[in-house]
Amino acid sequence: MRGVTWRPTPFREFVLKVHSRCNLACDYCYMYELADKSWRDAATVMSDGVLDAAGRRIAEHATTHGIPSLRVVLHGGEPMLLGAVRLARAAERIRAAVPASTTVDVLVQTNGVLLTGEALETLAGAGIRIGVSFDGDRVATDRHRRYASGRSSYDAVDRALRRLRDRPAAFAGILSVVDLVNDPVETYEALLAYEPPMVDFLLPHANWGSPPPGGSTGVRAPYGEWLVAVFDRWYGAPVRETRVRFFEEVLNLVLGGQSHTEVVGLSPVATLVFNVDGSYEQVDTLRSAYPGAVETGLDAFTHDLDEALRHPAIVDRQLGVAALSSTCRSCTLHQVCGGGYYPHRYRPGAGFRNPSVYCADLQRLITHAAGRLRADVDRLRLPA
Amino acid sequence: MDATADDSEFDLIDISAISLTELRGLDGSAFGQSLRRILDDIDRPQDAVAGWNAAVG
Repeated sequence: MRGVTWRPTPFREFVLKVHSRCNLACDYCYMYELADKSWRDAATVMSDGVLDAAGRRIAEHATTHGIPSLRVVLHGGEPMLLGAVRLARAAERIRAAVPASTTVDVLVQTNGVLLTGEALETLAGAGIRIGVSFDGDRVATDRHRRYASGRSSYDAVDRALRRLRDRPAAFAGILSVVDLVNDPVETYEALLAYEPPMVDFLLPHANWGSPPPGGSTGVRAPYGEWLVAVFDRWYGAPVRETRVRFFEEVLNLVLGGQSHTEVVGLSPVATLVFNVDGSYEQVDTLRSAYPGAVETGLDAFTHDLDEALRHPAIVDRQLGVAALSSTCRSCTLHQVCGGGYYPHRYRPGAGFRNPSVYCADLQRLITHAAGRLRADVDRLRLPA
Repeated sequence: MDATADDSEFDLIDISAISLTELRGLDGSAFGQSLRRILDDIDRPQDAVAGWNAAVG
């Protein structure tokens, strides 16, 4: 990266892996089912000592850099295995540690199975918002999101989502993994039934060494086509029914704005993961690439967060266009796609300086979304 | 799953010819909300950072 001017962007989002195990066995999970099996040796629960060390490091970072607001995501494994009361206490400890001038948005991202009415009240009472991972209707959810025994998780999650629908202030949204076998519009409408404030669609973890499922369909950009169908249903509604993060970020980038997600755009990634033992990791979806891809060799007990900011792998994700492959830099679409999601660029033996394995899909979605937006903008420009 | 983007000429959309009154009067559709967001970004410029995609909210 010689010749590239880089100024570190302080972390503003902290993922706390409060529990390293899960009560489901989803077959596409990057934690347990893909390349990295290090969870087998990990501690099970984040101790109070690790939590306090994380809180001190976050507070120190917020003070040093004058950060006005930050986000803490309680994650796992399955974070609800810690219990709602302990999650609420964890949020309280973090909030107590940071300066009063810094606001802390706390989220828990859960599979929803353990989100009982009582748990929801406890979390909502502690000012924690809840995101649920869920793939749509019963058939779609049962395709991947089952207990290790094979039993369906659908009914429990459906109940949790109905509870959240009745507590909109605590409902952060739904994350859904795309499966080409599911009908795109039916999937979107199944999620919409719970009135989530936000939905996001995740592409299955894949890279050039482990291509996406369904690549043999003969369609050039099957995930792009799937997303275009949902985009048209979402964009065509007379009143926006929910926010779809992926689509909103694409539209904002097409209009010359900036992205707030690591999936598209060139904004610096400002997220750090505290593993269950207090070690610092990069975003842990990188586990899908190769064993050890997330490791930094740093931890909350001995290293401040500025040291993590200088880690080459963290720097790489804050460099913007300078970190893209020459193929991406020569394509004008890179202003919007940003080269695609970092883990999807990995090619064994060649690292991350490659286009996304979903390049054609991103291209299909972005050009389609831009086309619809441009047509509407042109209509506004017409004289009355 | 090509590694190249063959439609490599892509222009961002320019909304500078649209009046602020028109932009502010847009409805609650996804289109209207998108233009309102970019106006807000212009009114309150800030250094955007990319958030983690394995959590929503």
